[in-house]
Amino acid sequence: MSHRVRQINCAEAVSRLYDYLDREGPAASLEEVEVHLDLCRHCCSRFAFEALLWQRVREEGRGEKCPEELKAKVRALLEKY
Amino acid sequence: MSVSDTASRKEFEELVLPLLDSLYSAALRMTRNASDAEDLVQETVLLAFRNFHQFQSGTNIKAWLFRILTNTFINGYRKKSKEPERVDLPDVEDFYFLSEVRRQSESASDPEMQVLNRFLHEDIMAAIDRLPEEFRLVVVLNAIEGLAYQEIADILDIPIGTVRSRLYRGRKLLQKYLYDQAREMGYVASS
Repeated sequence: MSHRVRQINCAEAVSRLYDYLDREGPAASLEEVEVHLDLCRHCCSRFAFEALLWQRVREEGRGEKCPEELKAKVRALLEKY
Repeated sequence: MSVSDTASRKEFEELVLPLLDSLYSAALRMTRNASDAEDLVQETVLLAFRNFHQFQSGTNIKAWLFRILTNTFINGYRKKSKEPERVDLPDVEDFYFLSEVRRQSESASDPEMQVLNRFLHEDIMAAIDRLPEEFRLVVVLNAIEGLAYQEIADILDIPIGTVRSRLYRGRKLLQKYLYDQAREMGYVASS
């Protein structure tokens, strides 16, 4: 049987934006946001863009590769031990 | 060297070497300098190796390594200044980037996606590097490396509520810097 989720307004949903994107905080709270986004197109599009923005930041931030020279240095350091 | 030492070195290498890219890119964002980042990574790996017996196998190796990385950075690599970095924090509203881009370009559809797609890697790195250290650290650890709030609270030895609020402000500030960058590069019209 499905349970009823408390309805929240836009301001409450927005205050949980980053908890929602980061999957942090109580599951019930995230579910309330989820239900709000199903009902509110305005928030849905704003949250969707915010998710894309932070996804791009994450991809670019993780995009730097450790130089091969440094990898070799690290391996050599460990060999010495 | 004993057989068990060799076995533990092999285990260490198997766990740690695949994370070198991640450690290096975080070190680069923390120090904002390639040569310091290289030193920081080497120092972190050595410290981790020396303390490998303290690592509980089965727990999160990434969180453990990032704890060593962050603390080594804080203790040795941050700019030697007596005063903490003082920043005037601009009042940035929620969805700042989105609202500003839409305000600037009424005609196009999805102008925010067009601006986002025009960003180069360097633009985004420059915006992150502009963040004051207290915000840059939590943004690197969470928004880039994906560590949980509690893991960051443990690493920095601060309450989880402080992690949450620094991350919130850091993210808003980064949106402001990204928007500034977009204007500077001409991705959005300057009014």
